[in-house]
Amino acid sequence: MRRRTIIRTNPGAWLLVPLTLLAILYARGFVAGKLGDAYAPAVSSAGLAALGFIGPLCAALGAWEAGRLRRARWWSAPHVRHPVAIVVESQAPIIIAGSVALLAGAAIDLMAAGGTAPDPRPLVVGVAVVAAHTLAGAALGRWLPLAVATPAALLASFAWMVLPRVLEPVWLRHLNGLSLELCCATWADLAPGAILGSLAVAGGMILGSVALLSARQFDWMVAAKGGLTLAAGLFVGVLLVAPLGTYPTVVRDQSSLECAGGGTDPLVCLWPEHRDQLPVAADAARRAIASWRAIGLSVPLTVREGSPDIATPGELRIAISSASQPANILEALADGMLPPWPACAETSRFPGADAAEYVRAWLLDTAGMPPDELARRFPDPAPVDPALFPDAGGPPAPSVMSIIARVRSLATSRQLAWMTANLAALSTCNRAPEITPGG
Amino acid sequence: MHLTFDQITFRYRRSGAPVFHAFSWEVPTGRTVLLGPNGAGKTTLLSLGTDALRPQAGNVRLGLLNPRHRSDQRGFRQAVGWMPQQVYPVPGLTCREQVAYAGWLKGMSRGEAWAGAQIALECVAMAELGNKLTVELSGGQLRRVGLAQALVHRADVLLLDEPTAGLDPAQRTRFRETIVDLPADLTVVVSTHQVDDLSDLFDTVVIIDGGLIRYQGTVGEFLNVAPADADHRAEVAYTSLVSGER
Repeated sequence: MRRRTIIRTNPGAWLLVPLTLLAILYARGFVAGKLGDAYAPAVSSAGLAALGFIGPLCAALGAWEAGRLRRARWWSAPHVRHPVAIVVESQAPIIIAGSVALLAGAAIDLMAAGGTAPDPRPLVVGVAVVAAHTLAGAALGRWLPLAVATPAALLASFAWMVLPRVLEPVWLRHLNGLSLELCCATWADLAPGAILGSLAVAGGMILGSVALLSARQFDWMVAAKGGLTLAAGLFVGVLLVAPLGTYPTVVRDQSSLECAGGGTDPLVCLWPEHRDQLPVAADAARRAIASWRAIGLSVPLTVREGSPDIATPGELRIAISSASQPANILEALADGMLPPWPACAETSRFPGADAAEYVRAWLLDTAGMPPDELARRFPDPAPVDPALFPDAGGPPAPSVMSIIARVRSLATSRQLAWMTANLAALSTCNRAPEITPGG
Repeated sequence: MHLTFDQITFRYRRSGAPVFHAFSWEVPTGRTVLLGPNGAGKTTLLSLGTDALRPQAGNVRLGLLNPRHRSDQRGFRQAVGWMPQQVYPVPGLTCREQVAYAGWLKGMSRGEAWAGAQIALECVAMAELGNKLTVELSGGQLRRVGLAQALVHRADVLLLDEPTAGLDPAQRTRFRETIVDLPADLTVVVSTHQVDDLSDLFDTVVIIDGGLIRYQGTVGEFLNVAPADADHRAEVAYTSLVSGER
C-alpha cells in the first residue's frame, strides 16, 4: 500500500496527533507535577502511566484495522507477501502512533525534570507493550466479527492493564509493564526481573498474535500454537517477576555515589542527582557528627545516601531529595541515627515508638537546628476537647520542645544516658522508653 | 507454461467425502470456459489452481513450479491471477488503491503496484473511476475491480470464478468485452454455471461435475453435441452431456 494511502486510511495515522496530544496533556496534568528528583529511571518510568489508556486504544485500533481486511476476505488469499509483512503493513502505523504518544508523554516528563537524559529500559518496555496490545487486538479482529473484536480488544486490554495491580500475589502487577511507573526513589533502580518479565509477556503476546494472524484457516492447531506461545511468554515472565515485591525495584548500584570529605572529616556520599547539595551536606554532617560525638554518642564517620530501610554497620544512611534545604539534610542525618525498627513494628505499635519524636528532636537540637525551625517541626499537641472526643482518655503526650529543653539542660553524661536508653527502646519490642528525664 | 493438476485429492474436512479424488487435468492454453452445475467443484478447482487451497494428495504445478515447495511458491502465486467468486471492497480504499494493494500483496513494489493498478484499471475500463471508493461501486464495477486485481501483477494464467454471476445482461456483456480485450497470450479459465455465457471468445469448453471432467472440446465440437436445428444449442448440449453422464 502506498504511504499516502496508509496515511489516509489507517486508523493509526488518523490517531497519531490526537493520541499524542492526549498523552502530552496527561503527562502535563497528572505526571510531570509529581516528579521528584531528576533521576532518569524514575522520570522515564513515570511516563509509562499513559500505557493504561494507550494500550487499550491501540488494541481496539488493531482489531479495527485487521477487521477491515477481514471484511474484504484478504487475509486468506494466496498472497506472495509473507503474512508477517501484511501484519506489519497494516499494524505498524498503529504501533508507531502508540509509541510516539508514549514517548511524547515521556519527553514532557523528562523536560519537566530539567531535561534529564532518558533511561531507555522502561521506554523499550513501553513500546513492546504497545506492540503487544496492538497485535493482540489485530488477532481478535482477524478472526472475530468487527463489532465483537473491537470492544473485546478494548476491554480485555484495559482489564489486563488495571486488574493485576489489585490482585494477589503482588508480583502479578509486574507482568503487564505498567508497574514500572512505580520506579524509583534515588536509592533504587529498575529490577531486571521486572523489565525482562514484562518483555517476556509482551514477546509472548506478540509472537502468539502473529501466529494467529499468519494462519490462513482457524483450527485447533492454530489456536494451540498461539495459545502456547502466549503461555510460554507468561511462564517466563512469572519466573522473572515472582521474586519481586510491591515495587519493581532493586537497590541501586553504590558505585555511582559521589563523595566529599574524608580524613578527619566525615566522608559524605550522595547520588549524582544530589551532587549540588554535596557541599551543604558535607558541612551539615561535619557539624552534626561533631556535636553528637561531643556528647559521647557513637557516630560513624561515613555518611551515605541509600535506602533508609537498609542499615549498614559503620555508616550513617541518609535519604534526601533535590529539593532538600539544609534543615532537611540535618533531619536526614538525624533520621540516619535512629536504629532500624524491630520486626514487631510491622504488626503492632511497640512501646519504644513513643520515643522516636523526642530522640529526633534532641538530635536536631544538638546538631544546631535553629529553635524556630525546631519548634515548627515539633509543635505542642493541641488540647483535646472532651466534648468532642469523650473517649480520648489518658494524659496528653508531653510537649516535645519542653522535654528537649529539660534534657538539654542536664549534664552531658545524663543526656547520653537518656539517649542511650531511648535508642535501646526504639530498637526492641518490649522495652519502655524513658521520655521524661529522671522519671 | 501449463497449469496442471496431477493426481490431486482434496476434501474440505478430514472425515468428509473428497471433492476431487486422484484428479488430473492440464489446463489448455487460450481461453477456457469451465462449465458445471452448482456444487460441481468449479470453485474448489480454481482455488486449488491458485494455491488458495492445498490438495491433501497430488500436486498442482505451473510448468515446473510447485507451490508445495517454498522456493516455488512466490513464482507460482505471482504467475497465477485469481478473481474469486465474491469481490469485496476494502473499506476506505479507492479502486486504484485496492488494485495497487492487491499488486503489493502479490510481491510488487509499492511504485510498481501503483503504476500497474492504473494499467489494470484501463484494461477493465475502470480508469475513470480510479479515485472512487470501492464501497460505492455497483456489483458490475466491483467485478471489474476484481478482474483488475487479478491482472495487476501480470499473471500468465488467469482464473476467474463465476465473474458474471449476479450481473445484469448489460453488465455481463460489458464484462465479456473486457475479457475479449485481455492480452492474447494469457491463459484464461472462466468458470460459470450459466451456459448462455458461452460465446465465441472461448477456445475450449470443459464440463466438470462431481469432481470429474465430463467433457473437454472446442466450442464448435461442443455445440455439435446438440442437433443443428435446436434452439439454445449450448444449453441442449450441456444438458445432454451432464445428464448423459449421470
